Parts: sequence; C-alpha cells; structure tokens
Amino acid sequence: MAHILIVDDNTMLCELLSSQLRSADHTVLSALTLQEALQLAQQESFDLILLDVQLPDGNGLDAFQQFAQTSSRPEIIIMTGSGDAEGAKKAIQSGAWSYLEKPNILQNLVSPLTRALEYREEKKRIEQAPVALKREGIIGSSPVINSSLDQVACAAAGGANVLITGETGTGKEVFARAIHENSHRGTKAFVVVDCASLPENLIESTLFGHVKGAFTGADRSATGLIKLADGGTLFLDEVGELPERIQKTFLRVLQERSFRPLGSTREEQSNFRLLAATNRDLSQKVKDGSFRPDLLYRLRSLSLHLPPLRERKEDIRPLCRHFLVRLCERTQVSSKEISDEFFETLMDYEWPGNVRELQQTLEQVFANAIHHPTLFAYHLPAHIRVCTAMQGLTHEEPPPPATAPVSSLHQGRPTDWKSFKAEQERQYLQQVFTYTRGNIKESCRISGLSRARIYQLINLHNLSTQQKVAF
Amino acid sequence: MQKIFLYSSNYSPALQRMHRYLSGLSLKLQIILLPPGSPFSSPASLELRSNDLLILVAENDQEVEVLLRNRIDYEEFRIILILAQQAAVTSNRYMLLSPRLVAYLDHDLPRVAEYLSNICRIQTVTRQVPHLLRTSFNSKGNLTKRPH
Repeated sequence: MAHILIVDDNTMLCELLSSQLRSADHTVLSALTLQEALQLAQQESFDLILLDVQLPDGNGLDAFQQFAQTSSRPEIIIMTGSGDAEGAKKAIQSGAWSYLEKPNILQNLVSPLTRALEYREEKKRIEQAPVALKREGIIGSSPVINSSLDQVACAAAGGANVLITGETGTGKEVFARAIHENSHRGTKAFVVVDCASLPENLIESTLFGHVKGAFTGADRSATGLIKLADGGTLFLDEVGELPERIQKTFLRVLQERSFRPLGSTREEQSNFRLLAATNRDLSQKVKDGSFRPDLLYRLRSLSLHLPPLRERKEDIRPLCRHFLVRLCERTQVSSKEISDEFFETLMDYEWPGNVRELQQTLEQVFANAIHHPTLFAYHLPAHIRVCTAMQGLTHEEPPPPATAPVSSLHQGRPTDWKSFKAEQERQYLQQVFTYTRGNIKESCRISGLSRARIYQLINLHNLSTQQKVAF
Repeated sequence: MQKIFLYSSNYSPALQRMHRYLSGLSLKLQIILLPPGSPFSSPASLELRSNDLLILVAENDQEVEVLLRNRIDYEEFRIILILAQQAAVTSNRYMLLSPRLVAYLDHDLPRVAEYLSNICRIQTVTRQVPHLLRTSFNSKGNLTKRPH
C-alpha cells in the first residue's frame, strides 16, 4: 500500500484516478494547483506523485525537482494532455518514471505505477542494508583479504551455516564475529563453543544444558549454550575436535533446531545461526571416518577460507600499527614510533603462526620496550631476526668480479684522481645495485656502507631510478 | 606452565574465593591476578598475550554490566566467566562477553577444574610432540623443518 498524490486541475480526472487507486488499497490525496501540491508534498510523505504538466499556476515539469527533493523522495509519473516529444524527453531526463498521455491514462497507468512502487520497495530495502561492513579486527587491504571481506558481506546478508577454514592464527573467530555483527542477529549473543578445550564429558551438558538431578552433581538445572544462542549466533570453534558421539546429536539439532537438555523429557527450541571454524581438513577426517559427512555438508552451506599471513605480507604494516595503537590505548602508554627496519625484519619472516603470532610478538616487544619511544628490529625476538640474517645469506653464488677499471689507466692521458675515484664509485654502486636488484638493505649489507651513505652516493652520482628499483 | 589471568571489577569475596580455589588446584598453572578495576594498566597486564585464558568474576548483574562496558578489550582472550551465584545474576546479558565457559561459584567449580585440566593436558601433549613446533615455512610457503 502506497501513499499517492495526484496533481491535476481536472477535478473529474482526480476523482476517477483516486477511486481507482483507493480500490487497489493505496491512500490518495489530490491537489489542483502547483502551490497546493508543493505544500502537501512537504507536509506528507508520498511514495508516488502523478504530476500534470499544464497547471493553472505553472508548469509541472519546471517544478519537478522541488517535488523530487521533498523529504520522502517520491517517485514521479508525468501526465500530459497533449504529449510532445520534447516534454517527454525533459520528464525522463529529470528522473520521472513515465510520461503518460491523459486520454489513455487509466489503461496505461497500471504497469508504470506497479514498477515504480516495486522499485521504491527495493530501494527502501537497500537503504536499510548496512552501507559499510563493520570490520573491527580485520585489518589490511590486500586482494586476498578484500576477497574474504566480500565473502563476509555475502555471509552476513544471508542466514546459511558457514564453515571458516584456515591455518591456526589466521583470525577465524574474528571473521566469525564480523559475520555475526554484520548480520541482523548482530545485537544478540555470539556464543562460542570451544570444542577443543571442553572435556568430552562436559560438552553435552554445556551445549544442551541439564535439569536438576540429570547426573551426579547436577544439583540445579542449567541452561545450555544452544539455548543461550537463541536469536543470535552459535560459533563452534575447532569443530573438527567435536567428539563423534556429540556429532550425531548435534546433527539432529541442526536439522530440527530443537534439542533436549540432559535429563529432560521436553524438547526445547532455539533459533540460532551456526558458524563453525577449523584448521583441520574435514574432508580428510570424513575419509578417515572420524567426522560425519552429513554434518560436514550441513556445516559448509557456505565456506570461507582465510589466507595465511605469508600470502598477505602487505598487510603486516597496517596490522602492526593497529595492534600497537590498541596496546598503547589499553595500557595507557603514549604512542610509539616503528622504525623501517623493524617492518623490514617482520616482512622477512614467514609467520607460521599467522596474525596471532604477529600480535603476540608485538605484545612481547611492547612489554619489553615499554619505555622506548621507538621500536627497532633489535627489540624483536631473536628467532625472527635470525630469519632476516639467514635470508641475507641465501645468495650463494659469489658476486661477479668487478670490471677492471682499465680504460682510463691504459688508454690516453689519465684523468685527475678525484674524477677517477668518482667514476670507480659510480661503477661500484651500479654493480652492487645490479647484483641486489636495487635492494638498498642488501646493498648496505654487501657494501658495508650505511643506508644514509648509499643514498648520499646515489644523489652524488645522479644514478637513475632504474638502478635503484625495489627499495 | 599455563598462565591464567584472573580479573574482576572489584576485590570482592567472590574474586578472593576464586583466587584461593585456583591456587589450590594441583595443575601446572601460573595464576596472575590483575588489579581489580584496572585490568590493563598494571605491570602484570604486560604479561597478557592474545588468546590467553582470562577468568572474569562477577558477583551480580551490576558487575556483569561493568565488565560489558569494556568487552572489546576482552575479545582477544579466551574468557571463562565465573558468576558468584545463580540467584544474583538474573539476565543473560553476560553472554555478550562470549565466554567459553560459564560457571557458578556456589556450585559448579569442578567444571572449571575439569576445563582447566583439559587445557593443561592439551598443552602437555603439544609440548610432547616437539617436531610440530619446529616447523616453519619457506619463502614458497612450503612446510619445512626449522633449524635446531
């Protein structure tokens, strides 16, 4: 049902249209002049306006934008007694839905009216959808992480079960929270079931709850996590560790969204959305017989595989800054600088423990360097710095022998010492840059020159940018 | 030794009782009590690492609300929530802390002990399989042995 305004100086047409539209359950008001119509449009919230062109106090097309910009942003259909091509063009260019001639208006109105109202409904739904993904904790803008975020957005919009996979420390729980927080269940509980840490004898009562006397020691009844997730999201962390006995029971819960607390004779309902995560290969576990295939199919209605940190190293820098800012805020310590070599060392490491390892490393560095205003590579744990040092040793082939500077020694008159020395320096730098492919850090290591001196020499000898690529 | 952090917004009898209980467990645990009311601005908090176990204690709905105010700070840790007694906590809002285990101080502490015992066992097993820890990835992303 829509709220419609008819703007026409023909009283009979207004009544005729009003009657037809009311019979289709719409509410209708009409105005005979532009002034009256504009007043109504500002006071009421119309979904659609049927606007005549020739009105006693002006041209409807000229007032088009005033109607279009009222607070309800109505859809507008133009009506005209004498259709002309220019008028039709102007109407459509202004944003009108249609340009109809009055003699056939009753027959021709139904289709554009229906489409305009359908479009308006859709537009309202889109406007209600979140305009930006809430992504707290998901840091980085690498292509792989952007692709994962697209999948988060899709998963959040729907209600299907999602299986999140990825190596340990890739942030499976962070992504699960993002799906929950961006879904319509976002204000309700995000209930975590720690399948790996809960002892087998506790899982059942923790998940399903129990009534008083259900087992030895159950001197009171307790609500299970499935019930507590009612309206929200149930997140099965490390679902691959779920004992086989529980897998069967849980499968039934997933199928029927109902369960029976331990010791109870009554079924209970819970409307939860299921997210699960694992670093195991569940398909392999199905082959091994340690995971139920029917449960796997249920869990992975949607799949989201998270990339390891080594495949998104460009995100290391923003991740570091994020963690460091959070640490400073949390501990109420003033902000710290991070040296370039600190980042370079982090980039050389392969991070088998992924983002969590990076975060824990920064927490360790932060604790050790709490009074230092700048973090240097020296603050990093030895095993990470060793990795950088080892990488520096991977070039096993000896550098090509330096080109003997024979030309100026044996041909013609020798140049002065200063020019000779400058030429040797330039040739040497070219050789080093060719060997290191322009890597300044590596060039410093090989030449024994400081970074500052290298840059000084680059400027001094006016070396081209091609010779100092990939800093 | 597994580090466990214990925190409450007040130095309440419930917190003291929980501290005593944990200290009395015959598990390889190092219990670190964070100063009540200021969990992250103390030197002890510098020992916290993401994914560590953090036991939060609340006596009643009011204390749950105080914890909820800082819940973003707790998201990086594995939360065990201890509520003083079932009767004093009437709302389910504590679930917004996303605890991995909820237990009541007045009657189901043995569940906490079982949970912690299981975690210590997992840690021990991991330590007994040292080759798993000595792996690394080379620049192509393949799993390799890390040099001893």
